[in-house]
Amino acid sequence: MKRRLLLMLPLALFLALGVFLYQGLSINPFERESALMAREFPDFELSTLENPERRVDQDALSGELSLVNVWGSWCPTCRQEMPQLLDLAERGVRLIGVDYKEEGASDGERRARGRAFLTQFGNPFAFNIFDPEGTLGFDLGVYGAPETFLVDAEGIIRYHHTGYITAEDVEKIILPEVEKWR
Amino acid sequence: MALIDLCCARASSACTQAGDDDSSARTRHLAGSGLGWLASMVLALLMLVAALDARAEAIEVRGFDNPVTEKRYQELTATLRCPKCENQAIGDSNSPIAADMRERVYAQLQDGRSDKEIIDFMVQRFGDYVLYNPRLEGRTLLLWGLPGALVVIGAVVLWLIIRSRRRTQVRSLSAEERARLDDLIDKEGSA
Repeated sequence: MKRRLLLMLPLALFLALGVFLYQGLSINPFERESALMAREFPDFELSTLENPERRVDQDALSGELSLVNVWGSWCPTCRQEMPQLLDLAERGVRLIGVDYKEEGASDGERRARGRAFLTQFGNPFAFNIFDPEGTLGFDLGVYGAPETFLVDAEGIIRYHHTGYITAEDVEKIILPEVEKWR
Repeated sequence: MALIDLCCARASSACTQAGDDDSSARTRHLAGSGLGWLASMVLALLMLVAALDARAEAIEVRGFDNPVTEKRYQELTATLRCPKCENQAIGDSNSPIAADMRERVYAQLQDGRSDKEIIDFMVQRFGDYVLYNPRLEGRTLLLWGLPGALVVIGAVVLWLIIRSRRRTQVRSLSAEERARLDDLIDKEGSA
């Protein structure tokens, strides 16, 4: 009997490996945790989209929980996300935008397009950080807009959302996370 | 690289043109038959080179003051994984984030940063995901240790099997077997 069980061992190992690898097939590689999770929001010093003279840095984020959304006027999914962001703002979440860089455009053009985008699709943001070179985006590990970071009152990143936020995500993920870290 | 290929192709055609009158006469003679085929082959080759050239344009041309740095740049861009396109290294990818990452690698190499510093810089922002060669740490022990462990387990199992076989071989014969063997030997002897 013992011997027969021992003979089954390779089959059992094979099945275990099979189950392990089969699971791997359904993993979404984009649903990975940000490397900045539970770390401080990176240092930056940039102007705002609204006012080229106004400089903001990481201190502008602390003091109150905020949802930092990285968007671009060139990004179609960012448009689809705007109604959800407006909804979140209406429910009392402080939103801060990062106008992420656009290839091959001058600063003036970028600013104009960024503002036009907000006029057309609505502006849920307390203010927008203007990131023409993508330096802040790079330090945040952003690899495709839109991406959203939940930053607590101490300036620590608590949640990271890649891709656009659906209406379902607002109810099921974003609002619970906001409540959890407020 | 593609540019060099193109230069080489040009240089070799210049060589054929520079051949003496005798050979050019021979070439003209052959023009009607095999040369048409040759010409189409050359044309196909040139088109291929042009295609390669167009592909290479997507990746920037970088200047390096020494070949060691250039080699390091190539190695780094080949071992860092593009966060947007999971099965490509940043050196192979056309995605904007890969271009940004190459730019950073280049800038930091120019600043004299070590490979480790550059890799740490990327991991800090994009996570272990960007490493095609995962680091040896607590949570990657299984990943790195499993192949070695399997070899060891295999060796142990093999050893156990061999040992048990050997043990059965040296088992002494029972009285009955001994008698049968003696019987057989006797028969053999008398035959």
